Amino acid sequence: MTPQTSKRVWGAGTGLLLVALVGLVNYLAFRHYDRWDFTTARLFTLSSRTEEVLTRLDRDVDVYVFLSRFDPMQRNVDELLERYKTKTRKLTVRFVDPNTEPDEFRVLAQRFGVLSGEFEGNVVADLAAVVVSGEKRWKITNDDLASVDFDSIEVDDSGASADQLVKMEQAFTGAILQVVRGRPTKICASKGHGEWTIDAGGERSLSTLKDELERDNIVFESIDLIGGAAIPEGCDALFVIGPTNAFSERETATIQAFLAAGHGVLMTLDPILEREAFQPLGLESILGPVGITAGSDVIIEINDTRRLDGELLGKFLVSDYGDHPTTRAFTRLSAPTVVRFPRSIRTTEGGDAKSILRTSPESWAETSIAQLGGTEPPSLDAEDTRGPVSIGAAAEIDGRAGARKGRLVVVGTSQWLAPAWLMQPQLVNFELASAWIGWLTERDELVSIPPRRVSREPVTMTADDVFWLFFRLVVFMPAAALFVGLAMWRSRRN
Amino acid sequence: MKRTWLIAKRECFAFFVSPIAWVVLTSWLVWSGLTYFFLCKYAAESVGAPGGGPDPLAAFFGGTMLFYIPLLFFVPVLTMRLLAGERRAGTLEPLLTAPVSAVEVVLGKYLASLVFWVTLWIPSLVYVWITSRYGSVDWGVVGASYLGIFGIGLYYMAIGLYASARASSEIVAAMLGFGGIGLLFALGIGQFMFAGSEYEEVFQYLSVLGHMENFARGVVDSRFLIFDVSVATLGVYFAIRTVELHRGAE
Repeated sequence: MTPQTSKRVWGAGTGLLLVALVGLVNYLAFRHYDRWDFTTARLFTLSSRTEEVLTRLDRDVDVYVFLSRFDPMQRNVDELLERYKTKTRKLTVRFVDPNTEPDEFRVLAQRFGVLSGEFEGNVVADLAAVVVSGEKRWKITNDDLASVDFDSIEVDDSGASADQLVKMEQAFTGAILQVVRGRPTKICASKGHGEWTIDAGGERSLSTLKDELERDNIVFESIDLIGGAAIPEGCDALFVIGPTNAFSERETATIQAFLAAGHGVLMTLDPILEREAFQPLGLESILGPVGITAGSDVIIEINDTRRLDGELLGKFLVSDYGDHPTTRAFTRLSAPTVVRFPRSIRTTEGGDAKSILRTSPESWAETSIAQLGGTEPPSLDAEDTRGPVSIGAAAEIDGRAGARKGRLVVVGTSQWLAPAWLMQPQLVNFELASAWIGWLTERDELVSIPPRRVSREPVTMTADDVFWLFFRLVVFMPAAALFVGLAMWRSRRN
Repeated sequence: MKRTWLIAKRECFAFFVSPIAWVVLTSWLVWSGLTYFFLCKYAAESVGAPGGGPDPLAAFFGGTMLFYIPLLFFVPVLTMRLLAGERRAGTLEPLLTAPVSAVEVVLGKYLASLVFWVTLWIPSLVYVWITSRYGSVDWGVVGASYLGIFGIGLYYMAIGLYASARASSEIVAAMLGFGGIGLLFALGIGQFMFAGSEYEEVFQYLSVLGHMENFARGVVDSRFLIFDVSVATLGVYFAIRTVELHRGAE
């Protein structure tokens, strides 16, 4: 073999080796990859809640998606589930197009009870997806994935609505929770003392909260504590939301026993003004021993950047969350919560209870009913407490021997649970509720921030704008380049 | 490395003082300007419709075939003269007898080709600015889009460079480059033909459409970055080998 031939052979061998190496690198990269979300609103980043759910997955979950490849949702579901798969190896995803894989679709349709029909010449399933783990299955419909509020759709760069991306994540994460958790978490909401109801309709309704939490495998039930009736077995947490009538000693003792058994309780205690005095609600005997005091006052906020309407007793923003595991994420984000007409919920100095919601330094806790009901605006007096004032507190309570510690969250207003505010993307009212429920029921994945809605301003141009655009982009810019080119050519010639 | 820079600078200078650079740039500006104009026109006409119209910037960066098809022609034109042009002009042999290695020559040419590529895309910043004036721009997505475009340029230019190294003339180099890039582009169409099957992901990986689809949404996927760099490495390596063989044959 001549040196030249040897060189060629060596070169060819090296080339083949490099091709093989590149092939191997690409194969490994194809199987083990990562994605980074560069969008400002983190549209394609899974929420910390979803990440928590996926990383804790300890059993196999299969997702069967029945969207046709012609369905515009299919690409986004694919993208979303790809991200899910980067977080856990326990998730298997299978796309079964009823049009291109009719046999496989038929088998799965029979297995999961999926119906199909024709639409514009294509076969479509009545379900978008089914999530299965063991014997449990959860069905996801097209409505679960699609945003129905057409007035608020903002289109992201992929052509999908930002709302839709969020809904999809909620639907799939919720479905996974449904099939992996043993039983739903049950929240028992007390009634009989003028509390908010879990039924739909009316201003004092928890139905929006209930519907949203259903995705997280949380169910609500109304229970009557009148006369000290026992809290049913199976209640993981108790809600006492906005009572207007006082609890009796027996009823209070029931709640105390529930806490001592290691359960969680959320109380929202609005200031009740009757007969020119703040009325007690009978729950003070639960709060006192754990270092929490519900003030006989109403918070006045005068910071204009916090107030949402012109009234001193109107809605205002709160973004001081203290230092508690449930609220650290909100502190980091400086995310606001809307409240209205709260009372102070203070913690005893040196006690174990922690403040989890505080008003601004410009606010104060007004104790004078005369001033609150007067024609003149209330003023800060010696009896009042200057801000920042705590309007929410959390405490752990030592329980019975052998039981874990009970957990208590007390907030000085119920208004933050109003449906109108729960779903506002700029506020964290829902996220806060979710985090506190997670802490009360020891469901850590709820403590992380759930998927959020985002908004974007679409491009709007008038016909005039478009005309001038043509002139600038298609005529002027190329002409400028041509001019520079000609000038360079001429100078070179000269 | 110093010689590589010198060669790259010389190549850039030679390119930008030649008429072809400005013909290419002017044509590119007309094409991309028209594309962006029509996308804005469509967006303007869609105002008031549910969901509004598409974001013209998102559509410009890989949202339509108007992004991909011109690249099949512009890239070969930009790269055809890198080595084939030198060969035709008779300057390649003296260059190779100079105290520069084939690696330095090829790398210098490759760097210059990347400068041409970046130069093509700099004027599109005007489109980004225009979009920001009439709506909102997600700068993270813009950054990811340009990263994706740079990644495409890495391997497109490498393929064109290799074609230029193999060819005896610029026309042949352009045709080879068109063929190489076109082949990859055609392979990428497999993602639509095999949609829903287990092969879809493989074709999407090879596809420039799959590549830009992610970057233009603001998602930087490590798979595509590795693909870009690895194919670019292959292209540059084979170009170096071809030049070395040519030098050896002299």
